Amino acid sequence: MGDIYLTKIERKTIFTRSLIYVLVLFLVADLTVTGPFYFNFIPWLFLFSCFISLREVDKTLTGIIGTFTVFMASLMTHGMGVETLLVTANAVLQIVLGMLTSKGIFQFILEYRLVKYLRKRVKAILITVLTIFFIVSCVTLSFLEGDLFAYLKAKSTVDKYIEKTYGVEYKFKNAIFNRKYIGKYAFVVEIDGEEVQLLPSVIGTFKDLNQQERLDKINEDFKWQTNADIGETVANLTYITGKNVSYKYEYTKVGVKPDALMIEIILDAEDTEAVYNEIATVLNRLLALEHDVHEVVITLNNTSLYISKDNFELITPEYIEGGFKIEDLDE
Amino acid sequence: MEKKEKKMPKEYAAIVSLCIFFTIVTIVGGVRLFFVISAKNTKVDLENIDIIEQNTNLDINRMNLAISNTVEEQYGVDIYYGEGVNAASVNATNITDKSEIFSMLRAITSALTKYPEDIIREIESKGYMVSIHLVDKFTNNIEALANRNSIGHFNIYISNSIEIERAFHHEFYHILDYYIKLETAERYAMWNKYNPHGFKYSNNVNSLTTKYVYSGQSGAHFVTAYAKYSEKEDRAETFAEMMTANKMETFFNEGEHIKSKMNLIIKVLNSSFESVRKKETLAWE
Repeated sequence: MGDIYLTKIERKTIFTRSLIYVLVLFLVADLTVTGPFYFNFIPWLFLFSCFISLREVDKTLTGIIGTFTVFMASLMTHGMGVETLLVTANAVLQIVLGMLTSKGIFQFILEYRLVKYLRKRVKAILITVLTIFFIVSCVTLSFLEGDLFAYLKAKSTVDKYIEKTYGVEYKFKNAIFNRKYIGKYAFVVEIDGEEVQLLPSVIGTFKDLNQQERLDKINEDFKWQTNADIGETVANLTYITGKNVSYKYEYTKVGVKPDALMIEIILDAEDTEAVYNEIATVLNRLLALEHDVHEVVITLNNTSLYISKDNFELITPEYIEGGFKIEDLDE
Repeated sequence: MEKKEKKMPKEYAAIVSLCIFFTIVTIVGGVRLFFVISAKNTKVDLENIDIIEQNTNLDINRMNLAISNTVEEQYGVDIYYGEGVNAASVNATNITDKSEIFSMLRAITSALTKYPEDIIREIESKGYMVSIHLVDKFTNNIEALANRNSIGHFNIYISNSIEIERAFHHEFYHILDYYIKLETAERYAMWNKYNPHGFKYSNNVNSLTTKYVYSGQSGAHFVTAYAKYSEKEDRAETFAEMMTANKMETFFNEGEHIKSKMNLIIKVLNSSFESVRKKETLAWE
């Protein structure tokens, strides 16, 4: 058993390490949440919990604090739901694993005694192997976690939009998570006996395309898509209004309020009232679905109609058509 | 004698460590949250933007957002700029330079503070929507334009020109004119009385001459040559002069044709807008 008291030097060391480690943890967390590795800061939490417990501190308290921290972070990122519960459960698991292997981690990571142990003790080898195993497990768990989210989301998307919205029969096959883009996923469904990979945002554009074209479309779509939910809405517009409608949306660009999202629908000169009808229908559905869209811009013949969220309930074909009738123009 | 080293229980050290951890979490989280929402919630004193610019830590992007949000909250008008504007639809190019946008916003807000605070809300209370779109420049060499569609969206597109404030007043008058036309009885029947006998507006920008146009002398009928384009432009130009010209100009003298036009504009604005009637001192009087 070691000493039950810390010397001044040890105290300073542990405080300094705590500070540095917490800063690193949050830096990494910040980068990973906004960067290419979806929510992968949890393994770092695992290491952190190892560090905290290395001096045989109050493990229960540490565990509660760690779990609470992850819960809050997840709540802010995902909101209250299945994702947050999964993230929190995973955090608990990893914190427990961290505690259990704390001695090994501590010795391996912080006190640089690996070489010494390798030389002198077989036990050290076991500890090291276990440590690496747990780290790999945690990273793997974290990746699996992301895939599970993707699957759940994709399933819900398919249920919501393909069959219920359009009455198209489908068979859900699988969900593929694309880690290159945060929160992106494609799902595999069988429609009309043909298995296709779909992104929520492009479901409406697949009807007249072959498999290669569909894949091309998916790839193209990945380039700009940053929010699958909004992608679904945009796809609805495309699907219902037909090939004369294209779209784009933008996040928080200069001139758009923070967090505002804009959908732009570009019509061509041949569009008719029927298209306005469809657009009005979809925009009203958009409102009903409570998507976080603050602005819809419809462009026809290079003239734009800006519809703010406050005016969504006014949207009718007449409203859209009227928006393009310039009654007065003064320079 | 050997100095006895002061020791601390491990549990105590651990709790202190955790407290430090939580303090940092709270601070980091709080600071991040603050920066995320600061631009959204920052209120700007629109009459003292320069002072605020010098004394706050807001970067120029956040400052621009803060100004546009404050304008929206205070006056009820949406300001669009950057990529959020479909500039091509009015033959213009987008403005993306943050400093230029800031200059434009400063000029626009400076102009807006000269109006009763509720005037745009009064227009919007009748179901209309007023928006201001900032663009870099128009490809057809105009400075600004105003338009109205059939669902009551009133838009001002304004470019980054030297006379931006005057241009804003000009276009804003068009907006006021739209409202007057739609919501009130015809109030400008007397307008032509102040024009030269037999005068007709040209409706052709290439045929405008300086005849009857003010150039410092008494007896002029129009403030600028462009005022001869149409009755609406005449009123907008006259109003812009009311808002920006040196009050020592001859046309401000009672009895001048232009002054009579100005008086008629004041009368119509007064009878059309409750917010104007409520305000004791008005910039155009």
